[in-house]
Amino acid sequence: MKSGWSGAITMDVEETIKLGEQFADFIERGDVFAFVGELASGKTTFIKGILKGLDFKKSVTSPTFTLVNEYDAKFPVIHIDCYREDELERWIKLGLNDYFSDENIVIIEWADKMQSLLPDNTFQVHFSHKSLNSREIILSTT
Amino acid sequence: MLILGIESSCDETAGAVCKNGEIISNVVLSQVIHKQFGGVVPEIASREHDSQITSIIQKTLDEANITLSDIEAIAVTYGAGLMGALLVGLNYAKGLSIALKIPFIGVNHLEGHLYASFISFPNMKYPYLCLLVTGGHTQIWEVQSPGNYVLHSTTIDDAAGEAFDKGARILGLDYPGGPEIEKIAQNGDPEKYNFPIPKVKNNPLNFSFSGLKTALLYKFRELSQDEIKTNKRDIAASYQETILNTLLRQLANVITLTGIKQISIVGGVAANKRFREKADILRDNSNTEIYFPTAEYCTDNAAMIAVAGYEKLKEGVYSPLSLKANPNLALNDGAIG
Repeated sequence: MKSGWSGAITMDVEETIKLGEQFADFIERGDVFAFVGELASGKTTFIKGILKGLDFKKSVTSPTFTLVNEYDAKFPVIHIDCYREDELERWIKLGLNDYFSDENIVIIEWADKMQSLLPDNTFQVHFSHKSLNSREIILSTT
Repeated sequence: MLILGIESSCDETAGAVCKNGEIISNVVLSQVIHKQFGGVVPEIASREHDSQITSIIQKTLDEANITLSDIEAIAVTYGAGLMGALLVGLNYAKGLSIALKIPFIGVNHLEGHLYASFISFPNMKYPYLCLLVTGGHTQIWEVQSPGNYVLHSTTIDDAAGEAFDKGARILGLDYPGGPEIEKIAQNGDPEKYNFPIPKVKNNPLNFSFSGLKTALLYKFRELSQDEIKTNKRDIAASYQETILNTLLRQLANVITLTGIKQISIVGGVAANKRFREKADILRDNSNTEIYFPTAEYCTDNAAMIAVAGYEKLKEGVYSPLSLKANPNLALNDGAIG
């Protein structure tokens, strides 16, 4: 990931999408992002923005039940969701490690459930509620 | 014609056999059974489906009381789904196809759902509408003929089943959330709380459930612990009512738009009793026929893949051995949203 992006507070869904679009400019192939934050804190919405920023025209939906969505955007983007499946052994057997490559962007929702499986250079992005519709999205340095 | 169906697109391995479109065996290795097997299958490095598929197919054949040599064609899911998972089923099907010298046909997972109604209602006619309401999908398709589908409506964020599950989590209920919300909503007042019916700007026929989940969360935070305790049933009933009204309102819109009178409703959410009651009202008001496939064909299964394969084979459609697994396989290229 290119340096210079640290995060922001957004006031509504549209701003969260716009922030995701800006975030997309800093992404590089091979990046892995761990998205952490409670229910309805804007994770999927932010990813919609990222995909928009990566010129992906089709719909981006939550992979909570499908587990993994793949998008053929400007770069191949792998959208993973650990909400429903937190058994690490199953993720390994389902081929999680195949997705980490120099070619792909990997974005993982509810990533706190699989931190031990993630590459060392994973970027952490934290989502939290500020007030009604307002969200704080920050890139953590750890 | 005896067709073996194989489905391994996500986290479940399934096999089924259909004889001229009628299902004679249907086996799904669910996560629960997986946990029981967990102690007996020690090789951690092996692929999820790889270690299961041979025994699942054998069980499928045993239940149908046939052997491999009786099979005349194979239908298999080749997308959308997880690459590693899809490859296991697809390559297994190709191997069988070569060894048994019989044709195989690749089926889109979503296509399987569209054909699930044929299992319970083999006399259904084209064209029909299919409202697909699972944990992963909320869509309304027009099935014009085998292989010809028009997407009229899709969720732009969360699926309805997911809205139920995450709503249940917010309300402190157990997983899976749909049946839990339904249970406590039975004695609740569906009119007590006003949740916004989600609207989608670009395509007014589309669904959006993400904002509804947020509205529930904020309603929950706004109320005191005592209020929540007293009114939990009403909150659940009002939340459920909003999801169901949204689904049926969009379905009614597509019925009006297309004039199609045969409707299939497929997916876990279709098991909701309140949903069925309300769908009955829509059926009577719109003078339509609504078909609900039985529950076992509503979730991920191979029976629907076998039947979809049968419908396509009848049309003379086969797949080449070069067919590749496609994790983001679309049913048509005009996906909206």
